[in-house]
Amino acid sequence: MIRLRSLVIAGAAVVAVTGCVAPAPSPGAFEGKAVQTAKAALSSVDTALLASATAVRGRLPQPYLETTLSSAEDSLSSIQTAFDSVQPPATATSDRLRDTLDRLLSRGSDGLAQLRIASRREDHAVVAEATRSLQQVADGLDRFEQEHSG
Amino acid sequence: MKQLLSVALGVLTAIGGFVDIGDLVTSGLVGSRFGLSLAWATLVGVVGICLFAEMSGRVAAVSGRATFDLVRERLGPRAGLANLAASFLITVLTFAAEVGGIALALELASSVNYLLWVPAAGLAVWLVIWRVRFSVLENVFGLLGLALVVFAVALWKLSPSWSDLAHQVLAPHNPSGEGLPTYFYYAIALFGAAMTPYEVFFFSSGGVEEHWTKRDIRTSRLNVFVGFPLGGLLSLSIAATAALVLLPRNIEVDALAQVGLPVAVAAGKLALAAAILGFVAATFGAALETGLSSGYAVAQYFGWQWGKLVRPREAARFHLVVLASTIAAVATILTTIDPIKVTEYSVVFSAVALPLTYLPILVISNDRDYMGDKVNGRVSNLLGSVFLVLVVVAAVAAIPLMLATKAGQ
Amino acid sequence: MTVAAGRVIDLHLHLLDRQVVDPDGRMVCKVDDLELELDERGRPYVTAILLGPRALGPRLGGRLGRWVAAIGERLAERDRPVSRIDFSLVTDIGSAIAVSRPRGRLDVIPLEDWVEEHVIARIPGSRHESE
Repeated sequence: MIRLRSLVIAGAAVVAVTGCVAPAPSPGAFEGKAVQTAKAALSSVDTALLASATAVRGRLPQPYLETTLSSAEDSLSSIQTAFDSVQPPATATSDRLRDTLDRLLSRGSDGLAQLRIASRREDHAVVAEATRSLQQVADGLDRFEQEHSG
Repeated sequence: MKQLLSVALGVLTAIGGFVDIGDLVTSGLVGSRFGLSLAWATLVGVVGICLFAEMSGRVAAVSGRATFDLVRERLGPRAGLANLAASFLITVLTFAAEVGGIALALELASSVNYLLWVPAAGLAVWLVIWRVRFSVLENVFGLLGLALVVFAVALWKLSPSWSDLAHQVLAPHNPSGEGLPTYFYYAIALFGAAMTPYEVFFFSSGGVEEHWTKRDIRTSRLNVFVGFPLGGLLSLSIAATAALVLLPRNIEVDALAQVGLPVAVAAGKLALAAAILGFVAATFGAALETGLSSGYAVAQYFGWQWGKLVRPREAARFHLVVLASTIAAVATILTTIDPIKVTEYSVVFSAVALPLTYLPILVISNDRDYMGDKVNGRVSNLLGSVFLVLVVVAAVAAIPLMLATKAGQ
Repeated sequence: MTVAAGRVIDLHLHLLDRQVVDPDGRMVCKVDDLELELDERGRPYVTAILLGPRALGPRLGGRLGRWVAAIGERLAERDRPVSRIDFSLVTDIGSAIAVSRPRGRLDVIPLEDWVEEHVIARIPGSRHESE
């Protein structure tokens, strides 16, 4: 009985550990991971865009806007960190995939930071500019997701 | 007239008290990812909590004993202790999630980082438990929680196609892009959020403290059967606004700010202020309930004096447990772990622990030794048994689904 | 005792693990264990309610039970026997076990007294009822 129990515990530990430290995935799995990442990043970027647009219409108080933007920024940055920590498989396609997505994520981070700063200063011109560039990032992420899923 | 007022008050507080951080986050998240196609899980959960809260209220009124008091009697000291350990840990985890929720809601109102609010929130919760009378805290936070009705107003203002929404509810299908395991994982989360065990601990302990008698059974039934379903409608409104505003924009809820966003989009600043007030009240009320429940569970297992009707000195160990739980909850959130993640885990683990609470209630409410002629009727028993099966299935499936879907990713 | 004559009391079902309350309705403890003695005809009868971790531990059994009992041993004052409430004090056996002496005069829950004196009483407001 005791042996069975320790076996179960050991099994659970193995499952837990292998769940965390993933070795280089297969190209297919890597692509799946990339699509998941793009989807999550799109959620953050679109949140910021919606909050900003609502604020421009005078429907979102300043503290709420700032909190929404900084939490979107935080979540995008952790999404990027998580994706960057994945070892891509050694194929040219995977490298290209990683480059494309990583560039989008970085542009997204920059755009979000710009939007947050400009929103706090209530600098409408820069807000509009940041919004435009974030919209492009959102379109890019959406396209990326469409191209690589299914 | 006075009678009517007190009944109305009870129902209103039951509505406002139904929603907590688990419902807010899970409803918003599921609405933004699955539309209303999982509304059935909330509806089933509401029927379940009505059924078992009524039973535990009846047991409290007839026998004068609260739920955990009886758990040990029925399960024996050993199984009872295991049950206590699991229930206590989950209640404290939920407590932590609620404290995080208060802090996040205050951050939305102030843009001051939530971590700075956490100690203040914990202190406020503990002070209220220490000093404020039961009926006052229940009524105040229940009524303020009604501010969440703005989600229903926002839903109406969004003027959705009602037939389309009804279709999503009545003919549920899993929208493309999400695997079936993820779909059922969130079904269990909604179920766990609606049926969280602490609600029953709190409800029955409150009944014992207020010295319910057989005559109070009707009032308690009314509170449960009217208040909880209306509270469930609030949860569904939250999901529906997320489905209408966030889902089409690819926004998947991972922060409390996103849950309130549809209200601002639909109804503007004032409505959003009401939503934030509702967030604070709902999470604060639930923090009080979970904090007290952690003390109830331990004190009732060991037979210590518990409760808010006596001076704290006379329930020393009970208050010590509450104080320790508060410190643990605050410390958990101060580790900078994402409170939304804590919430998600707390509702899923609640689902795992459901049979631990609900099986003993079903058994005791059928025991003529305690209940005399107030044992369960046939309908209660039939539904109770069906739900017990559901609860066990959900509990068994929760962890494998969590591992398989990497907690719903 | 007000227990109706001829009512069969099952120790397991009606006594063990039940709540004990005092005449003021204050909760005293659970019936963690029972002390039995044999009468002259060799029939067992209950002489006292036993309480506290040292009474509960053996009933939990296994390693956990030994652990609980050991903690109880550490927490107890030296040479203090396991807390007991004489069964002659029991006045009713219902959904709770009623005893005739107030909690404060039973002197069976030293830990509650210790926590009260050293922790809770030191926090302001502990002597007042809620407002």
